[in-house]
Amino acid sequence: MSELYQMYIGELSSVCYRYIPNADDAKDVLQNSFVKIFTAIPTMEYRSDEAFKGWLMRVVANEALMFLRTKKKLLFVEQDEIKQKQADIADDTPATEQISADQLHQLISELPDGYRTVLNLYVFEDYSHRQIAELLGIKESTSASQLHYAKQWLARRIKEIIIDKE
Amino acid sequence: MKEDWTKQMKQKLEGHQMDPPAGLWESISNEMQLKAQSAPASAPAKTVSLRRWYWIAAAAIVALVGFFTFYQFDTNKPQLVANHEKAITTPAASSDAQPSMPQEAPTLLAQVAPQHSHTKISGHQIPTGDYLQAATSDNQQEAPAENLQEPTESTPQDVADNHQPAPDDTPILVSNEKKQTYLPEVIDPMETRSKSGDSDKWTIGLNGSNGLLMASNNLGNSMGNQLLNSDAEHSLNNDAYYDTNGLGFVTDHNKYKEAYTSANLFTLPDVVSKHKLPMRLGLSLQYQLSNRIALHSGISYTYLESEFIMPLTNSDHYTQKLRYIGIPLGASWNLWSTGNLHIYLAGTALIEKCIKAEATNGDVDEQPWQFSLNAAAGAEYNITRQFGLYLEPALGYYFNDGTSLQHYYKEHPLAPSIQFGLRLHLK
Repeated sequence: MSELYQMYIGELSSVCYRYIPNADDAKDVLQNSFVKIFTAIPTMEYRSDEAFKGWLMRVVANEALMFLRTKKKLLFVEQDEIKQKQADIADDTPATEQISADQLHQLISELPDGYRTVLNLYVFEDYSHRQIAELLGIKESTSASQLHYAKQWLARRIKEIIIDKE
Repeated sequence: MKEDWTKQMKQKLEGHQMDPPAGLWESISNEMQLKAQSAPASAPAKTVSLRRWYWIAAAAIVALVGFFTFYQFDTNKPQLVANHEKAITTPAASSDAQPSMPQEAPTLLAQVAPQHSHTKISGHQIPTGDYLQAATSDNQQEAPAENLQEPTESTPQDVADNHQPAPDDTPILVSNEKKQTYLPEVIDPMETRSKSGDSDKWTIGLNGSNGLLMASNNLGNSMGNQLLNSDAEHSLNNDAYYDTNGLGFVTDHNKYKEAYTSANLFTLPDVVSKHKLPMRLGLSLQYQLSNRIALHSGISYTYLESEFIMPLTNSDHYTQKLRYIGIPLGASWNLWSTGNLHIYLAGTALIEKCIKAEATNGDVDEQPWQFSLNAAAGAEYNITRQFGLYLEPALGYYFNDGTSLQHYYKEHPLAPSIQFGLRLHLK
C-alpha cells in the first residue's frame, strides 16, 4: 500500500491541486481517493503500468470533480463585452516553453473556480464542451466561453511572467 | 494555433509532481485500519419485506375469496329479489309487470312444489330463499328441467323470445321469465352479463402489478446525465459492473484496448445504474357506467428500487428506494364476453407522489410527483358470480418528473407491465 502511495502521490497531488488549490480540501479529496483505490485494488487485475496510472489519475480527478460539484458552488463568471474585446485584441499564443511547470501549475490554481474547472476538464481530461456542460449543469456555450476566458487569463499572466523575467 | 498551446499546456504538466498535503498518509492509513476493523458488511439482508408483501397479498386474496364464497349464501336471497325487479324494468316488459310482481310472489310461493331436489344449479350455491325455488320450480313449467342443469348456451333462442312477453298476458309468466333470465346457467351469456352489468354497479378490486421490461444496466454520470451512450451499449452486459477483469471494468478488452490510455479512461462513465422492476399494489373501485363502459379509480402504492455503482472504483455502490402513493383514474371498455370470461380494454391516468425516498449513501432530497398514462387489455374470469380474477398486461408512459433523480421510469418512460388481481362485483 505505502509503496503504491509513494510511487504515485506526487503526480496525484499535482492533479488534485490543479482542481482544488486549497490544501485542506485537497487533502480530503486525496484521502477519499486513496481509500477507494486501496479498497478496489484487491479485486482488480493488473494490466499495465500506464493503464494503472491512468486509472489512479482518473479516480482522483473524478473525486475532485465530485467535490467541486457537491461541496462548492462553482461560479461561472462572464466577462462584460468591453473587457472581452480588449482581451481579444491581445490574444496571442503565449510562449509556454518559457515558464516552468510549477509556474504553470501555480497560474492554473490562481484561476477563478469556474474557469479553472472547465479548463481542467477540457484540456487535461479531454472532455468536449457538450460533456462538460452536462457534467457541470451549464450550457455548452458557457463552457466554451469559460475556457476562452481561462486561456486569455493564462496567456496574459504567462506574458507578464516572461516580461518580468526579462 | 490555439489548440497547440493548450496541448503544450497539457504536455508541460505531464508527470508534474507536487508535495502532498501534510498528514495525508496518516489519515489514509487510519481510515483503512478503521475500515478493516469494522466488521465487513455482511451480505445485504435480502429484502425479505418484498417477499412478505407477496405473501400478504396472496393471503389477502385467498381470505377474500374464501370469505365471500361463504358470504354469498346470505346475499343471494335479497339479491335475487332486487335483480328480479330490475330485470323486469329493463327489457321491453311493460311497467305493469312490476307492480304485479309483489302480488304474484305470494302466489308463486303458494304454487311451490318442493321440487328443488331437481333444480340443482351447477356451480351455484342453492340458497335457501324461497324465491329461487319458486323460480326454478316454476321454470320447469316453461322449459324442460334439463335446461336448468345444462350450461348456459343451451336456450338462447327461447330466452330471447321470453324477453318479449305480451304485457297483457299472465304476469306470472312475465315474472317467471325474468326470474329465469336471472339464472346464469339458463341464459344466453350476453344476457347474463348485461343483467349483471345493470345490477352490479360497483366493483372493488385488489391488484398487484410488476414491470416487465428488464432495465438493462445503464450508464450515466452521477448528475443524472448520460455522457457516452454508445460506449455504454458496447461495454457492459448484466454482469459487467461486477467484472473486475481489467482496470476499465469492461468485458470486451479487445474493443477497449484504447480505453487504457489515460486520455480515453476519462471517457468511461461515472456511474452504472441497475433499476429493479417496479412493483405496485392497489385497491380499486369501479363503477359500471353502461353495459360496456366502466369508470375506475382507487389507490396505489409503488416501489422502485435501484442500485448504483461507480465502475471506476467498484467500491461505491448504493441502493436507492423510492415509494409512491398514487391515485389512478380511468375507464374500461368491455370488448367481448363469453361465459365467465370478459375481455376488455382499459385506459388509466395515474398520478403519484413519492412519499419516501432513501438511499444507502445519504439522503435523497427529491420526492417528486409522477404522472403516467396507461393502456391495457385485460381478461377477467368470474370464478363465482361476484368474484373475478383478472390479468391485465399494459403499456404505460411515465412522464419525466423534472428532477435529476434516476429510477426505472427515467430509463424506460415507455414501460410494459402486467397487473393481476381480484374483483368483487357488488350492487
